[in-house]
Amino acid sequence: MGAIHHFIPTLLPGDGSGNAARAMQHRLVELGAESLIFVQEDKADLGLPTFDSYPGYANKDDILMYHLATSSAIPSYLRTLRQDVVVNYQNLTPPNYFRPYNAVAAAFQERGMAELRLLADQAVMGIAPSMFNLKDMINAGFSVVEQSPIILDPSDFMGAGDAQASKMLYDLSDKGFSNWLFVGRLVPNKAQEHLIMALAAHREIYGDTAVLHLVGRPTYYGYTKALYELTKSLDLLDRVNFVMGVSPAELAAFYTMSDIFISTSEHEGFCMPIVEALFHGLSVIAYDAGAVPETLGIGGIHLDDRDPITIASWANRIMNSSELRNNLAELAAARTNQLSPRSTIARFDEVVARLLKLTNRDWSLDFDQPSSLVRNYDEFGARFQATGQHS
Amino acid sequence: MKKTESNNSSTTKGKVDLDTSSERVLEYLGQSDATLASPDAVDSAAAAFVLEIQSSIEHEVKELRSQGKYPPSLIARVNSYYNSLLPLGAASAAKDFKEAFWIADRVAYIDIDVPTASKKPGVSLVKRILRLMIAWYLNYVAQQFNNFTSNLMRLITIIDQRIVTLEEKLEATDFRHLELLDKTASIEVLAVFAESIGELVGDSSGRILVAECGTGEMLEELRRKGVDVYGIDERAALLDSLETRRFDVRDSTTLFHLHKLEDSVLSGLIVAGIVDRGTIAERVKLLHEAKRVMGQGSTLVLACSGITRYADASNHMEYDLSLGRPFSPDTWIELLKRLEFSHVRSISSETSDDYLVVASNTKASSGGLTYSSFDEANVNLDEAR
Repeated sequence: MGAIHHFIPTLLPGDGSGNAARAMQHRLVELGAESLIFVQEDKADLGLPTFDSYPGYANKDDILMYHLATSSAIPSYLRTLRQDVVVNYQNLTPPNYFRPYNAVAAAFQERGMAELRLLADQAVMGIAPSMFNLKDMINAGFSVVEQSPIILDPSDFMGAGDAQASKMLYDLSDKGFSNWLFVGRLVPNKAQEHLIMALAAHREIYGDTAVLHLVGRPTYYGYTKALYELTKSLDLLDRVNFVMGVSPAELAAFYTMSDIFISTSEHEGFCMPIVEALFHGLSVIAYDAGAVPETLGIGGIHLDDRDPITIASWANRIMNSSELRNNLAELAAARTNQLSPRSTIARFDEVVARLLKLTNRDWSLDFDQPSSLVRNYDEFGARFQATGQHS
Repeated sequence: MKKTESNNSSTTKGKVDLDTSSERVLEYLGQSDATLASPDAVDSAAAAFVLEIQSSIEHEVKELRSQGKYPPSLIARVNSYYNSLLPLGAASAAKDFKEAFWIADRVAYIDIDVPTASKKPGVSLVKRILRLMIAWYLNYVAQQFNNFTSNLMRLITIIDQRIVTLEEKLEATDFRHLELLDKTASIEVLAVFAESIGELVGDSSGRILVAECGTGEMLEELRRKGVDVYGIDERAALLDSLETRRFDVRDSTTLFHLHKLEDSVLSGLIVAGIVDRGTIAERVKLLHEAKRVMGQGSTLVLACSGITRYADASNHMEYDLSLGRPFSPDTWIELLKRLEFSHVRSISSETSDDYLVVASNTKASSGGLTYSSFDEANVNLDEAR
C-alpha cells in the first residue's frame, strides 16, 4: 500500500496552512495510511524531511497532497514525479494587494496563480476549505474538486491563557473598556484601517469606552506605518493595541478575555480566526467578503459594508445588551458545532474515500476509527465550559 | 461574557500590553527602516433575535446620521487622509507615477565598478585583480543590460506622455471637479422630474436607488410615497445635509456603487448626472451594470438634460467640465433595447427639452452580463451610430 504524503512550502508555528496540513496528516495516520509531511522550509523546527528527499520514501502508489498558499519550488518538483497529485488550495491573495508594498511578494502571488494552473493539468483532484477557493480552482482548470473545511485543532488553546496578557485585558475591562479583537497579519487585504476608523466613530458617538487589539505580525513596512499614522492622527494611540505576534498562550488570553471579534477583511480564503473566535464564544461581526460569509455562517453578524457608524453601533449594542451577547454566543456555539472536528473530519474522510476510488486505490483504511482530534475538542470544550470562560 | 481575573499581579509590561503598543510599532518601523459547509438557515430564536436587533441597529444608524454624528464629510476626510499615507501605487496611481518612475530610473543601471576595499590584508589587491580579469565579461553583460533598461525607460516615458495627453482630454470627467460646484444642472433636472418619476416607480415594493441624488428632491418624493429608497452622491456637503434630513445616503460614485451591488437587488434605479456628463464608455457601462443589478420587473429611469442646457452653459459648470457628447433619446432607447430592456420610451418635459428615458427590466440578467460584455456593447454602439 502506498502513502498519502503532504508537501507544504513552509511550516510555521501557529500558521493556518501548516495547521491544516498537520490535522489532515494526523487523521490519515489514524485511518491507517502512511503519511508524512515534506517541506521546503521547516520554521517550526519539527525535523520534517525536505521535499527533495522524497525519493528516499517513494512508493509508486503514493498520493501526494500539495498545500498551496504561496509560490514555491514544489510544483515544479511534483511535475517530475509519476505519483498522483492532489492539491489542497489554501488560497492566494490577489497580487494587487501587495504590489505597492512589495513587488517581490506580489510576483510570488502571481507565480503561485501560475502554479495553480500548472497543477490543474496534473492533479487528480483539487481540495479547498471554502467554495470561494473552489471557484478559483475551477477557474484555474481543475475538473474534480471537493470542499473540505479546515479541521479545527484546539490544541493551540488547550493551555491556560497567558497570565500577563489576561491581566492586561481584565484591567481594561475593569476600567470600563470593551476589548475589540482582530487576529490576522497586518496586510492590506485584511484592511485593518477600517477597524481603526470604526473605533474612531465609536469614540465620537458612544464615548471613549473601547480598545482595539490588532493581533498579528506586521508584514509590510508601508502598510504598518500607514495604520500607525492613521491611529496617531485620530488620537487613538492609547486605544489601539498593535500586538506584533503572540505565543499560543497569549493568543488564548486574547480570545478568552476579549468581548467582540471584528473583521473588516476583504480577502480571505477561509479565515480560521473567525472559527477560533466563535469557538471561544465571542460575538463576531464580519464584513462579508471572500470566504467570510461561508465561514461565519449563522455564527455572527454579517456586514454588507464597512460603514464605521454601523460597526460602532453593533459593538455598542453588544456591550450593552447581555441578551444580545447570549444570543450571539448561542449562534456562535451552533456554528462552531457545524465546524467542529466531528463534522469536518467526517467530511475529510468522505473526500479521502472519493480520492481513493478516483485513483483506483484498493486500500483498506479504517474510516470507523474515532479521531483523537474529536476527543480533544470535546474534552477541551467541556473543560472550557467548566472553568466558566465560555460565555 | 464571564471573565475571570488573572492571578498574575505582576506590574511589568509584557509584549502585548496596550501601554507599549506604540513602542512596538515604532520599534518595528525603525527596524524595517534600517533594514464547509455553507451556512445552514437555522430557524432559531437566537437568529430571530439577532435579526430583530439588526433592524434596530439600522434604525439607530439612521438616527445617528440624522443628528449629524460622524457625518459623511468627516468619513471622507479620514479616508482621504489614510489614502495619503499609503505608499506608491496603493492609492493614487497618477500621483505616484512620477516618483515611482524616478526610483526605477535611478536603479535601471548596472555599475560594474565593484568596490574592492577590504580591511583584511591583501584581499583588496586580490579583488582588484579579479575585477581586472573579469572586467571584459562584466562590461559586455552590463552594456547589454544598460542598453535594455535605458530603452525601456525611454519607452515608459513615451507611454507616459501618451497617457498624460489622454488624461488631459479625459480630465473633465473626473468627478472631483464637481467639488467646485454647489448645484449642478443635473440636480435641477432630477428635481423637475421628481413628481413624474414618483408616479412611475412609486408603487415599487423593493429597494430603489437614486444615483447622484443631489439635493434630495427625488428622495423626498419617494419617501413621501412610502418607497424604500436610498441615494448616492459624492458631494460631501450635500450628503451631510441629506443625512440630517434622515435620508439613507452613501458616499459613492454611480459606477463604483453599481459595481459593488449583487445581481438583481434593485426594484428601481433612477440615474442623473452621469447620463449627461459621463464618457460614452461610462454611459454604456452604466447600462450594463443597471441590467445586472436590477431585478425582474424593475424600472430604470434616466433623467437627462436637454440640449438647450448645453447651449446655456454659462451658469452650468457641469457641462463646461463634461467631455461626453449628450445622447439623444433615440440613442438611449436603441442601447436599452439591445440590452433587452422592454417598454423603452422617452418622456419629455412640458417646460423644457429635458427628458426622461424609462425602461422595464422584464428579463432579469442571468448574471453573465457584466462589464466583460462591454467591448461587445461598444461594437453595438458603433453599429448604432
